[in-house]
Amino acid sequence: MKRVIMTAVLLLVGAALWAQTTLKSGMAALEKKYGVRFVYEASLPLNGRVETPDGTTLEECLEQLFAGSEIRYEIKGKYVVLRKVRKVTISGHVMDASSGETLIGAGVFSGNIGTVTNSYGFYSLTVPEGDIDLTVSYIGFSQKQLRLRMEKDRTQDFSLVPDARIRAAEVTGWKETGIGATGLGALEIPQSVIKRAPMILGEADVLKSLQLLPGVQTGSSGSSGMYVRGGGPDENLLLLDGIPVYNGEHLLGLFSVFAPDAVKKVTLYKSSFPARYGGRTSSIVDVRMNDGNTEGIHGSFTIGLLTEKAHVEGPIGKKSTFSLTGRVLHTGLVELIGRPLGLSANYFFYDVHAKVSHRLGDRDRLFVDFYRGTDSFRNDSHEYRYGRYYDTNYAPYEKYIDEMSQFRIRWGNTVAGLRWNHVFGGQLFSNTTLSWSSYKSNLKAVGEENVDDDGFHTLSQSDFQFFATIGDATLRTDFEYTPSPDQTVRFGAGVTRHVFIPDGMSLSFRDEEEGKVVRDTLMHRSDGTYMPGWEASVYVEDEITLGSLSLNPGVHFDLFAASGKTYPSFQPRLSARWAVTDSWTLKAGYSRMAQYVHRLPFARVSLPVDTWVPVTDKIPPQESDQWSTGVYYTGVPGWSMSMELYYKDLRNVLEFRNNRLVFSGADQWEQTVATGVGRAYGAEWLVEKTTGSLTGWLSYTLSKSERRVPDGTVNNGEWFPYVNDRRHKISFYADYVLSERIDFSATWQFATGDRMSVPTHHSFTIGEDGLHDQLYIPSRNNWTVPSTHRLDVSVNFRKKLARGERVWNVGIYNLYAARNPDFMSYGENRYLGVRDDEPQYDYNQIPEGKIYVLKSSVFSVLPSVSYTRTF
Amino acid sequence: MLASCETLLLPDPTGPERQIALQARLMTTDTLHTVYAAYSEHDSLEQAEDLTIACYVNGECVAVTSESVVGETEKYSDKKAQWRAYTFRADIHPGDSVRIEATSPTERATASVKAPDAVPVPEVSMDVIPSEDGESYLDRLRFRIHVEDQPGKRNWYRLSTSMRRVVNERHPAGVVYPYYGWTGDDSWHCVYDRTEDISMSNATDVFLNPDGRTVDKWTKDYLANEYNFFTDELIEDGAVDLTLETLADSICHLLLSSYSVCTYHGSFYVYFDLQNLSREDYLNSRMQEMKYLSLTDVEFVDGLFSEDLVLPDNVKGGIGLITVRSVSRVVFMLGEKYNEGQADFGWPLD
Repeated sequence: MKRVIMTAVLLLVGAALWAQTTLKSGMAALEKKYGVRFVYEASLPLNGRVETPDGTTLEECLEQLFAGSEIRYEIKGKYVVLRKVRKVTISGHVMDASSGETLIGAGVFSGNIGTVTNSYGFYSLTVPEGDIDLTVSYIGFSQKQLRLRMEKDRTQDFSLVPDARIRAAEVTGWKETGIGATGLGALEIPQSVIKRAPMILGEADVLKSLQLLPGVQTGSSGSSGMYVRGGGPDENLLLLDGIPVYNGEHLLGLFSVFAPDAVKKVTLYKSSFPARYGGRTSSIVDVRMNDGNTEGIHGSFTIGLLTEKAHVEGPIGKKSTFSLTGRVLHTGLVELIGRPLGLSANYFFYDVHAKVSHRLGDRDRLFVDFYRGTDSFRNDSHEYRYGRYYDTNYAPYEKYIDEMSQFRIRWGNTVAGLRWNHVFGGQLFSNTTLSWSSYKSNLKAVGEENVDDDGFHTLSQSDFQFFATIGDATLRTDFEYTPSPDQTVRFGAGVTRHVFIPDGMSLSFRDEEEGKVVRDTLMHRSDGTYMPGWEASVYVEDEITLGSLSLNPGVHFDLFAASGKTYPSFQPRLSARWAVTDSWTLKAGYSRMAQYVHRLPFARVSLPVDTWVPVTDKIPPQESDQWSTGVYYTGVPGWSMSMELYYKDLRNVLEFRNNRLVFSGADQWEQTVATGVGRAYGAEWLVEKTTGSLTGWLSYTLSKSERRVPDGTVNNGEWFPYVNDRRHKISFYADYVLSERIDFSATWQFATGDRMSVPTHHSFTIGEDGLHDQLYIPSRNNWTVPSTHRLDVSVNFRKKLARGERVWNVGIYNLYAARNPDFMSYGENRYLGVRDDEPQYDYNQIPEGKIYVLKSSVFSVLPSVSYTRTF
Repeated sequence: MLASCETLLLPDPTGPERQIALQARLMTTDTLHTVYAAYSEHDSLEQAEDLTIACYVNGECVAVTSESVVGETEKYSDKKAQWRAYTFRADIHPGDSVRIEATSPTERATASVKAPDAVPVPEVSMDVIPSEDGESYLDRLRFRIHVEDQPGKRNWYRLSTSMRRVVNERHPAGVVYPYYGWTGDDSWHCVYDRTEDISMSNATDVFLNPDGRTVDKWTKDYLANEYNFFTDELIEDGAVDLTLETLADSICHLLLSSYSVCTYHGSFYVYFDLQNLSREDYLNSRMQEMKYLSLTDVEFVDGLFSEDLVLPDNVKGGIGLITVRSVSRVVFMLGEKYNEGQADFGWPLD
């Protein structure tokens, strides 16, 4: 039996070989048959076996002979001229036909080769010379197909027409995000989701939209704070057109600083960080803003329950565009009128974003970016009291008290940038950026009391001020080289000058009696420690496709110098993607990241007086190593499913030592923190429907995150749960387009609670001044806060107008009034019965001495309505 | 429906229903030691009257006691103390291994600790800083304490100060005081001898108080390392000169009832105790010192604006902290004074 099989195999192989011939033999046969002569350079590779041509004409035979090879033929009389197929490059920009806005991630492909546009809407595709059929597509736009004759490198821009019916795009080749990307953990939030997902009080929000994604946890409900795969909120790098933004939040985290109307695209990287990114250990949020409309002046304004927003964009001449967006809380407008009239307290914030782009030529574009956002709170009081009293001899006297206090707190970001895009030939693209980014906060509390006590005058004054600032000046250049459709090489370098002043503070008192100074005390004064730092970085990464396997190896190298110490950091990166079949894809990745700045929070919620501090000679950079793997399935049309696993190892994380000083600012901050280690691991499932009237996703995250401080100053050196260690998270998002005029959105989110430290026993302790009662906490973060869940819905009523559209948005936040834990505190019941100042509690319900936890739910059912007019 | 609300939650208590809580700070300069004990429960702290406390030094049982009294109350509190004080005699030297065992009919808790090594006795010198007003009672005393670090290991220290005032009275020979029941014999009798803690300002010491935060001599500076803790992190096996200041009159001023025929002699001392602590002891004390500044002690403690207080704990089978401090003492004599007819002493001394 074995012999029979062997013989059959040999016969089959022989038959196959008989049907083949060498290329040179084939050419010789054709020369003999048709009387032609092949002419070619000696270096032309003519090796290999080919199918024996059996065509009826010379052209047919030549097609068969050279099919699939890199040889081009041309018949010239009795000669057949052979030459190697040249590769030519087509490059350009893909734009929105209605606005001229460049499209990021648009697919450009020809046959089986393709590419996507980069962050600037630029594409480069190298194809064999000859005729090509090019297809350009993007979600929400009609596909464009074009046949081109490619004989040399050329520039070709494409404009795609918007079509809301297109819910998915056929894109081959690489993608920056999602299943098609080589890396894992990269997700894009479409602008439609940002604008339509129901949010608190109807205010669309970029960062809160990201919280709908798997692996992204929130702080308290309603807050923009992000905890990505076990990392802290300061471990996320927020980029505005490539420029870092240090504080991404307004109003204690209820809103992010990115006005959705100005946003073009938001990409979140949770792992497999491309080598071009560095500086944070948990995530990169890359926000790209609109460039401006080339076709005409367009815009929108929105009036909602909380804010007014206005956006306008358009051309400036033939080569330039502008985009201008502003947003202000209603109270900001009230401030303009109210303050001169004596309004004593107010809070408001505003954002302004402006961008100008100028096309110098086919190869050069310039962009100028500017962003400024400020939060401001003030509370002034002025009280005048008069009293009539009697002294010990029952003689009457009068007392006049004039008391004044001012409390001010302001914080905000300023970002400015100048960018230059240049195309070197068709395959090399560069972006050079000169930018400035700063974040400042300052607090001032002043008090004065003037007393006339029966003719005796006294004056008491107090003055407390706190300020902190961080500023970066950066020069950076990035290159993108695309030698072939199967390879893109990115490299670049940058240098940043950091300036930190984390701890400016002064506290003084002054007392006068009858005009004579009796006390003039400076309790503490610090002009702020000026802490400069330098950061230099260089990177290179190579994205290669080898058949069904894609690899993206890279390395990012940083050098950070501050406080007389230099920290080098070598950060290898690697991602791999294997398209097992058309439907199944496997991925794996590894990234090392380093972080040189930390945000010291004042409290468990984000506060404006949180300060940014650099690494020092005592506090080394934080580092993370993350390994991740995933499996993806797209076998059902219009659906995609994925599962990702990750493990993250953290070093030099900062944890506050027990009992750090309230309002210490960042004074002697190094003594208030300890460095430790952390580990986080988990699994994320995502099922997404991307086509049809109903789209959305369902995700589930199972995760664990913990920390340890080896020097024993926190939790006795033992592992403890990280504050945001939420075991389970479920996110559901649905978007249903009923018609051109009505669409609905809904989100439902569930997460098990984060962690806090709660005492378990009564105890006592010895201090230097004696014995004290003390509640005993066995370990840090020993208690799990109750779970959070919430259903939000919204509906848009649209109407097309002669110019533009009007949209009424009606929404309900927290539809079934879930009582979520927005603030938590613990205490010990020291009372019996009902207290006058807290009549809602009957402490008879719980024994005296019982330790309780108070759950404060701030946001109940919140309906919203807003009106938007586009033009 | 639209308003916010608060909900009271009662966490399920974890850990044992009842366990022994122990606290003790033993000093090598003492022979009488006190261990404070109580029963720690989820909802209360209860008096532990039925314990037996045993002290082992270098493995040998040196003291056992079951006698206890109610411990001193918490400062500024009128609430009855729930901890009991168990007192015993034992000699503890630097380097000794000490074990405290507390047993009840149903519970047992132990803590083992090693007394830190002895530190070199510091050297002390003094300068008198005359007051700007020219009033001698406002003169300040500036002490310089030279501290040598123990080499080869990390050390944690506290510099404590106390003062001792001794007054002797001499009755003239032959004078009879039937009302008071004595006859003078020209000998000295001690009528006053007390030692008490004294707080000195470290405002001008850049090591203990690097920011020099207080510039107002009238303001007690709670922000500036009130108990003079320090470590050898910046000394690194070397030495450091510490500076403490106080008003001369705060030590020397003493007025006692007196007899016009007697002669009075007063002598005044300042004790500088350099205490060598374990790391747990240092952390425990510093955390509590900061506690009063970070508001965790107030009624509405919530962990919102400060990190929680998880104190060091070395008691097995229970909770609490037993520590031993090795003390090196310097006795600095300020001076003495003779007065005829009145026991009224003040600065300057003779």
